[in-house]
Amino acid sequence: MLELQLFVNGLAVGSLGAGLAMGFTLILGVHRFWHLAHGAVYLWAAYLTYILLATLGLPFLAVFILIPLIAGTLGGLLELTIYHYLRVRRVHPMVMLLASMGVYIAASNFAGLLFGFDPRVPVTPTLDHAYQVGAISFTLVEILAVLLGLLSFGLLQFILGRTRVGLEMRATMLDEDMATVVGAHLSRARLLSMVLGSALVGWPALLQTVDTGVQPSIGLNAVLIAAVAAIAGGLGSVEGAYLGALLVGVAEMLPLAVLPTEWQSATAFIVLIIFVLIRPTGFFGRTLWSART
Amino acid sequence: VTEYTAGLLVVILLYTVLSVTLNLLLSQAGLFSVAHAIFFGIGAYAMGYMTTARGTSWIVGTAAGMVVAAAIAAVVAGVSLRVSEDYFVIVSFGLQVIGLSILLNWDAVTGGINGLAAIPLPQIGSWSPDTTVDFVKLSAVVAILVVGIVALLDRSPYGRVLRASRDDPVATAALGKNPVTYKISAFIIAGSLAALAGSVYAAYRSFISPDDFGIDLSILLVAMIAVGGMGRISGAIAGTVLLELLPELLRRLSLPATAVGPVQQIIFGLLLVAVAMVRPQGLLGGTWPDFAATVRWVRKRV
Repeated sequence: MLELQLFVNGLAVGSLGAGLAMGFTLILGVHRFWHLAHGAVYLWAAYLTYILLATLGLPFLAVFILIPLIAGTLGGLLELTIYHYLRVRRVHPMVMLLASMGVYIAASNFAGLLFGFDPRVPVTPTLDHAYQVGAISFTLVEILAVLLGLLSFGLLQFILGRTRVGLEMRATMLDEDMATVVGAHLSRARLLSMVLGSALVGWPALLQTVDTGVQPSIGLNAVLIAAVAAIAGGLGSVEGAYLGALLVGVAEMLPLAVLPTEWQSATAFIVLIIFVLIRPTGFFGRTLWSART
Repeated sequence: VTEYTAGLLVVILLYTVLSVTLNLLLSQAGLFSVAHAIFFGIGAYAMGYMTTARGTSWIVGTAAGMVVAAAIAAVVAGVSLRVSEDYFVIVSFGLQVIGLSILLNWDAVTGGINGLAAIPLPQIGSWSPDTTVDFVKLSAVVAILVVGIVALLDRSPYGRVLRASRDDPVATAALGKNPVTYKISAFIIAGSLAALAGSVYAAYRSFISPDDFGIDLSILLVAMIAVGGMGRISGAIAGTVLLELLPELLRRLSLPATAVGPVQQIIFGLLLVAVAMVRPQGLLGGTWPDFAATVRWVRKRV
C-alpha cells in the first residue's frame, strides 16, 4: 500500500509542479528562451503569500484571489522592464538567458537578505486536516493542489483555445512571421503570455508556502522541475507540460518506497535523461525549435 | 606578500582556469553549461580519494580526475548533443544537481557531507609545494598552461571548425566536419582541464566538501565570462579577477556577517542584467555575438 500512498502524494506534488510547468512552457513557446526568472517569480509569490498571511493577517480566501494577480504583475513587470528592451535590441537568446539568470540570482538573494535562509511557515491550522480513504491518507492541501492544477489547466486551455489573445499567443508560438501577417499583435502576445504564465505560479506558491514553508532555495528547484516537465511534455505543449509535471511528481515520490530521501532531488533528472534518450520530442512529439529550422 | 593575499591569488588563478575553459564552451562551441563546478569537483575529489584512500601520488590522482571528468563529459555530451542541442542547458543543470547529490551521498568515496580531509601535499618530482606562495607558483603554472592550450585551440583549425559548428552546423557538416563531434570534444577538453584545476585546489585546501562545488560556483563562472566579455580569453580573465575582487571591496563596507554573501550575490545578479542590457558583449568583448551570426539569427526570426 505504501506505493499507492506515494503515488497519490506524487500526483499532488506533480499538480503543484503543473502550474509552474504550464506557465514555463507557455513563456518558452512564445518567447523562445529559457525563462529562469520564472523561479524568482515563484519564490517572490511564495514570500508575498507569507507576508499577506502571516504579517498582514489576511484571510486565506483573499490571498487565494490576490496571489495569482500579484505573480502575474511580477511577470509582466519583468517583460516590460527587461525582456522587451533586450528583444528590441535583438540580443542573442543566450544573452536573454544570462539576464534571466541574473534576475533569479538577485531576486533570490534579496529574499534571503530580507527573510533569512531558513524556511518560513505561516500558521494555517485549517489546511493541515488529513483525510483517510481506505489505507490512503491525504491532506486538504493535497486535494487543493490537485483541484487547482486541473482548474489552471482548464482556464489556460480556455484562454488559449477560445479567446482572441489566446489565438494570438498560439499563432506566435507556431510562427512569428505568419502571426504578424494575419494580424496578431506580437508584443501584446508576449506581454500577456508572460503575465498569464507567471499568474499560473501563484497557486502553487500559495500551497507550498502554507504546506512546507518558503525559503530562498525553492525557486531554483521549481524552475528546474518545470523545465524537465516542459521537455517531457514537448516544448510549448500545455497538455504535455501538465502530464509531464504529474509524471515528474510521481517519479519523485515513488522511489521513496525503496530509496533513501537524499537521492530525491536527482530523480527528476532521471526522467529528463530518459526523455532525452528515448523521446526527445516529448509525449506529443513536437518541439518548437526543430519545427522551425 | 601576505598569507591572505597569496590565498586569494591561488583562488583567482584556479578560477581563471575554470572561466577560460568554460569560455571555450560558451562562446566558441556555443554550449551553455552550468555544470562546470562539478568538473572542478570531480578533479578535487578524485585526487583527494586517490591520495588518501589509495595512497597514490598527486600526479596519479590528478590524472585519474582528468580521465574521470573526460569520461563523464563524453557520456553526457554524447548523449544529449546527439539528440538535440536545445536541452543542453537543462541537461547541464541536471548534471550539476545529480553530481552534487553524489558528492553529498556517496559516503564511501566522497565522505558525504563531511567531505575529505587531510589530503596530502603534492610531490612533483623533487619539489613539494608546502607554503601558500608555493601554491601560487603551482597555480600560476597550471593557469598559464591552460590559457596557452585554450589560446592555441582558438587559433588552430580546430577552433575555426568549432566556431563554424556553433554558427552554422549544416554548412559545417556539408564541408565534411561533424559539428556534434567537435562540440563533444570541446566539452571533454573543458571538463578535464577544470578537473586539473580542481586537483590543485584540493591539494591547496587539504580539505574539501560539497559546498565548494555547488551551483553557485557554476553560475558565478558564467557571470565572470558574461561580465568580462564573451569570446575573448582576456575577457574571461578580466571577469574572473573583477568578480573575485568584488567580495574584497565588500569586506571594507563593514556589513553584518550574514549579509555579505547575499549582498555579493545580488550585485552579481544585477551585474548580469546590466551587462545584458547595456553591453551584451561584455566589458572586453566585441567579437561575440559576432555581426554575421546576429544577422543570420535575426533573419531567421523576423
